Amino acid sequence: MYDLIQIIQNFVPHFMIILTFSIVLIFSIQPLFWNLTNIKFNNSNKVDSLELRKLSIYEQIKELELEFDMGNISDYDFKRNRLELVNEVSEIIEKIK
Amino acid sequence: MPIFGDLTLSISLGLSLITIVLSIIYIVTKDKRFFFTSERTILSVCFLVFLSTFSLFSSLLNSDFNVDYVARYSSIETPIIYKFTAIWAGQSGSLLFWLFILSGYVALVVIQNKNKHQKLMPFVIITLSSIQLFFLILVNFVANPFIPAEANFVIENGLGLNPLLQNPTMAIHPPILYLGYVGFSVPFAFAIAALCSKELNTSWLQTIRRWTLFTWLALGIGILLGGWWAYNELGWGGYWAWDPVENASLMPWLTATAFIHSIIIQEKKNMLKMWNMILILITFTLCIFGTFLTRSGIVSSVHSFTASSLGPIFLAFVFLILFVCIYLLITRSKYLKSEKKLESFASRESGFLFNNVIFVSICFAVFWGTMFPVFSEAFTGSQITVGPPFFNQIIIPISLILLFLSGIGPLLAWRKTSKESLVRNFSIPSILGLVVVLIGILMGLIGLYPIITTFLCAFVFFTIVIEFWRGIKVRNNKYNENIMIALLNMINKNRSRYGGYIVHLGIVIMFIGFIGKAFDIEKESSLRIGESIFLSNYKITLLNLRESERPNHYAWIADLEVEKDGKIISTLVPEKRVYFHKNETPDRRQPHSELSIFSTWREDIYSIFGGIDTEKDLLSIKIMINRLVKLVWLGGYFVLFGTVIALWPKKSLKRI
Repeated sequence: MYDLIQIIQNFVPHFMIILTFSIVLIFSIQPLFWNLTNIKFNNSNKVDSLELRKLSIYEQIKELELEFDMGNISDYDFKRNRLELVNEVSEIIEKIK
Repeated sequence: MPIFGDLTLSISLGLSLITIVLSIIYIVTKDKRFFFTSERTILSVCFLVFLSTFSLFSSLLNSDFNVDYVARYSSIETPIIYKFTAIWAGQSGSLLFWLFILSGYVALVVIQNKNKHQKLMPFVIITLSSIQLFFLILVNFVANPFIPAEANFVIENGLGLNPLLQNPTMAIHPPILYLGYVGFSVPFAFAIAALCSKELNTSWLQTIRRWTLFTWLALGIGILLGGWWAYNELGWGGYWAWDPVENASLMPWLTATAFIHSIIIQEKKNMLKMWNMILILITFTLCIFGTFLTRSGIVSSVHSFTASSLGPIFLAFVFLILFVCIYLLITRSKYLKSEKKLESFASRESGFLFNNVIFVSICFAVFWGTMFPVFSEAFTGSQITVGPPFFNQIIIPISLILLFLSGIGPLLAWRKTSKESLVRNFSIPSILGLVVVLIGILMGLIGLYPIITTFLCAFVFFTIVIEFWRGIKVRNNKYNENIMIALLNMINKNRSRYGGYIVHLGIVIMFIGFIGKAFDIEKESSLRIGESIFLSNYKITLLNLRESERPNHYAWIADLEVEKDGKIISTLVPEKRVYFHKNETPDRRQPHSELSIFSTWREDIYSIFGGIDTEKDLLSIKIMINRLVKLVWLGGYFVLFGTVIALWPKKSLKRI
């Protein structure tokens, strides 16, 4: 009985190592056996990128308005920059649609 | 446990190679199964590296002196906290720790970008896996932390941790520094991916913006903590010595600082694409180059690891990175052309461009000064070292230009600033700056650099204050908000902008702290009990000399009473310690001076226990009065606070 316990005690660490590496192996190679039709790949990357750009321009417009209200930029510069940003965001909205 | 740790490292190496191969197969065949498998294998590598690091920690915790690393860097007496810090105390352990942090970042990148950036991610995975592979080769074949101790007897106790590293700051300084150093792998991987996939619009920049800010902050805080540790532990009274290893951490921080400013231009104006690409590529290269400097023994430093065979391997890796970067930059140069041109010299765009030039110039000066001993030895046969005077002579004037730029940046408009705007925006801060300088001179401020720095600090400070005030006034007029609410709303709605201003404020406070260095004084003396030293308007009296035996060291302690204008203000207790005093071999008993500092906003009284003559009861002591040091640390808090504000996610962007 004592010998059996000793054998089990000696085997447990080895078993844990084998188990760990087996789980890692199964986890790693699992996708290779997936059916291609079940695989989803998000194709909305371009839209996400345009959405981010759109939000970035909205922020720039807000910042520009703040700068103008603070008196940091002239009326002419404000109008010119704002118009350019509005045009750019309009083009992006068109692309997203 | 060591066998398990070793095994996980070996399997990680194989899996890392497989990850690269799978990603390449996906790029060639477009079979998505290979991409998903590469995502899984890279996550498995990360998991195995975590297990390996925990194995080493477990060995240290259990004082398993059969492992060479454990026997070298810990002992039975080593407190648990320092058994933990022993992971990065030695060459091989610190490489594993580097890999551990890299794996944490990699896992986060892969999970965070699942189903995103379809074109970029395979290249990101290849790049990150290649970096992992490089470090896995090192820890498997060159510096394995799990190799057994070579002794033909039972090792009952280890050598213990270097006393200089037995400091609470050292428990957090290296991990934070590593978070910065290693973190630049992520923006670098995205940059390489953008170049390889030719997806060079701003989306890769938006993805890495927060990563870069975080790693920049971590590196900055790591550098500052290093300064704090040097000031509180090394006993020479300073926090920055232009040491090669210090410089190695400063160089990537400088280029990264230029990068986080410069990407604003690309995001807003689609300009400086080439600049940004070069800056982030060079930042990561400098991180690896810094590691080469620290570990090769090519330059001497108190902070470096002992000389090893790692130097040529790291240097080869640096050259490989440079080759890949230069090749990609040349072949993709037509995609990196700016869509717009600079309209005026007096514009914010020009300010940012100039900012880049200044940061790169400082970086080059630091590089040149650091590598000069190596270059001089290669060309003349004798090693010529340039010390702090060289760095101070070159870098102080350039840094002052940088300080000036941080003041004028917010005053410049995009595209073009009219003369009227320039005069209106510059006049008030300039006049207030001059007033501050005049007050300073009346109070005893002398010297060209301290006067110029004071003017610039005041100029930048008032520029920022005026910017805040104008913003508050706008909200007050538009929304009828009171000052506090207007301030909070204004910061909340423009986090990057006002977070950035708070960071600049922190830098100004640090510069004021640097001015203090010009007015430091010191005195060395030998004292018997009851005798005093007089320095500035302080009287420091030796009250007592004591001895104490502690778990891992023996200490002599001096009780010093500090009086100012006849009033007792503090007691200082500097110590001389001998670590591993129970060791039978005297060579292994390490003496170490533990400082005692009384700190105020105006100055620090810094006491160093030089030595003791036990026969004559004579204490050899050094006292320094270091001015404005606390402001350097305070500036660091501002930088941290400002960056956290800039980093905080915006509600609208959370949805994306």
